[in-house]
Amino acid sequence: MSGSDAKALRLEGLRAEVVGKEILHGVDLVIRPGEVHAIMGPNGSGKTTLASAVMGKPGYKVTGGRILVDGEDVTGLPTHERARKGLFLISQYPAELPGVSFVDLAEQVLDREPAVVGSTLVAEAERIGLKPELLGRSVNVGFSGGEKKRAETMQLAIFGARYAVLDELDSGLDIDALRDVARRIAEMVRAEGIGVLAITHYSRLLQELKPDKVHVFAAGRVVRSGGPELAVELERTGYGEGGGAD
Amino acid sequence: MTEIPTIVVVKIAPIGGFEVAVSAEKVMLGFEPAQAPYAGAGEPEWVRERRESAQVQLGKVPFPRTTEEIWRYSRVEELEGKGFSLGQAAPALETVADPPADGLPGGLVAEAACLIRVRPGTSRAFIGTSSPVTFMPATQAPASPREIESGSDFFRLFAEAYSPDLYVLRIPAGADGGTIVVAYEQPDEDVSFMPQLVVEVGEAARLKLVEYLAPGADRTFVAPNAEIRAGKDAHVGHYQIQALAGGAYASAFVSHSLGERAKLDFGSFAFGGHYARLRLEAHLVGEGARAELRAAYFADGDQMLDFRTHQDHHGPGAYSNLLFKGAVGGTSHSVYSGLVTIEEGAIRSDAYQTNRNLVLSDGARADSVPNLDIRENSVRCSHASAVGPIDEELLFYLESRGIDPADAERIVVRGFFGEVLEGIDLPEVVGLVQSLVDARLGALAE
Ligand SMILES: Nc1ncnc2c1ncn2[C@@H]1O[C@H](COP(=O)(O)OP(=O)(O)OP(=O)(O)O)[C@@H](O)[C@H]1O
Ligand SMILES: [Mg+2]
Repeated sequence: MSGSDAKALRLEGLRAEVVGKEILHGVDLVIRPGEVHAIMGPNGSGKTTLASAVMGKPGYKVTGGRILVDGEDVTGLPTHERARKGLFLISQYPAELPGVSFVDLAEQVLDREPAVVGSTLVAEAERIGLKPELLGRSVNVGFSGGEKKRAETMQLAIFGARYAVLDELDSGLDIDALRDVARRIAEMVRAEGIGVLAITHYSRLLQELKPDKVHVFAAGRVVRSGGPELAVELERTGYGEGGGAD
Repeated sequence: MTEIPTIVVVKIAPIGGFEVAVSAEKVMLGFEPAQAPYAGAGEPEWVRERRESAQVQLGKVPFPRTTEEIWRYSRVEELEGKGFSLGQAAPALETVADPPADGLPGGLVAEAACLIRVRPGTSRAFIGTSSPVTFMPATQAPASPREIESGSDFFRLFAEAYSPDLYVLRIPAGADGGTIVVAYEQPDEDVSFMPQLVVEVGEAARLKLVEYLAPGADRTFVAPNAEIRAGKDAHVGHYQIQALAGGAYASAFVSHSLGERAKLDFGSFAFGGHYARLRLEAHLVGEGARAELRAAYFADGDQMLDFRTHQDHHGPGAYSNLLFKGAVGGTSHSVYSGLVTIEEGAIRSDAYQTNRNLVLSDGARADSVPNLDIRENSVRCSHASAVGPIDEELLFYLESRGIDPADAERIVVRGFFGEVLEGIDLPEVVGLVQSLVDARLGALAE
């Protein structure tokens, strides 16, 4: 297969606005199954806006371009249908769900018998280093930063995503937690061939995730792309002139 | 042109067998019997005194108007023009050998060590064989004096003055009464029903009381009145599930008085009625008394659910924590108005009050009015209230996991109420409340 029908998460000239102001000015990216792409860029350059627009979050209005999942245009689809096509987002600040446990959530999403859901959850929690007793508690409520990101990664692992957008998965994580979640995701890339778009400020995450490509994001577009060495260079030299929001 | 006020007396259909006369000048309602009130023949001295005292007080309390703070926003004035006859039959009790479970939600029956069906006139009681509790109509009950005077709520006084249906439930000191389910039903149209329950929980006794206001007549006025006195070191769970028919008017009154170190867990779960009000008073009289007060309510259509609470701290070192949560859909309306008072002497009091409301449609409305009145130092008090739509972030989170918007909304609302149900040690009651929430959510989806 080739062209826009090929298996990939493909962004074509994506433009999006927030409260009437255009933030994304045309973003082109192609993430194939089994690939890891990193996006680095200064604060306010539009990285979270990109992640939100891809998932169809209310308030983020796509004004031009397309989002394709394995050749299928999902730009006009509601969020839950995008998720069912295989998109998965771990937000920079994951929401807390009072009164809804991981068990409730997983039973709803997985549509399998409770016993199967339960054992799947426990197995994955242990693997990711999340205390299993947290599974009966309300999703993310009162969780530490590290527990939240482990819990989000656990969901990514069991909900059958094909393309994951990780918005600063590494923010607020200690060294052990960072290593655990990054290794688990690297494993999903290897074993299940998921495609990953990892937004980060630090090369530390990328040492574990081993990106195929690194993109520099500035003022709502990709301004430079390269291999993993670009992350190291950026960490040394910074983004330089013209990096911030416009 | 200015009109000279004249006294215009408007005759309005009776409430509880009484006629309401409106004086346009004073904008005040007075009562005149349209029907001879219940005579209370054969009642013991203490019941007669209770009636007379209520009648005297009632004479000083005008019919409620929404201009009064505690009736603000309410639909009490809608009662004008409606007529309900007053019960006339003396209460009688039939003791039955098997739980009278017919027509009740299964969960309630499963939990009950004692199951009592209270109707106007004759009631049925199943008292478990080894149960230490006694339940009887007031006509047979020995004196049951009040320790603390309740607020002068119009319908509480009215019921006390004129309702025949007065029962007494006793749990002796040191005994464990288990779970007692009292289900009230009023099947006849245009009749008022004002069941009165006096509960005495002895020192160090235990009780879980579940009151169920069953769906019954649609055109009815229901005013249940529960007065619970917990002795020193007693532990009381009290849950009231209100599932009245959609046209019913209700004004429930619940008053708890807690002795030294007595512990109360109270929950109101309200779903039914056209206009249904609960006035809840928790009087923390003894030192170190503790009360958890919770409510989950869910209105739909053009219903109004109305809550007035009073956390009344007298004893030192007492603790009360109120969490009332509601949802309103359709063009429904909810009202929460709460007061915390810390009386002199109630040092080291902790009193918390939280009311949160989800507004699920544009036409729905929730009012929330918390109040504190503190007359003592070194106390910890807080209140919080919130009214708003479902948090979009939560819906987005669930939808981004592949859950469709309708299910996402259901999950968020269930979760919202989940906090209220946490820690209630009656799984079947919790299950019933959840199913009532789900039924409401199902109705909204249609
Ligand atoms: N809800 C919003 N309302 C107003 N402006 C917004 C909103 N969301 C984003 N913006 C603006 O859009 C621009 C891009 O923000 P975005 O959050 O996408 O940046 P980012 O690259 O993720 O930054 P960071 O590295 O700090 O996370 C910023 O100028 C921001 O102020
Ligand atoms: Mg961001």
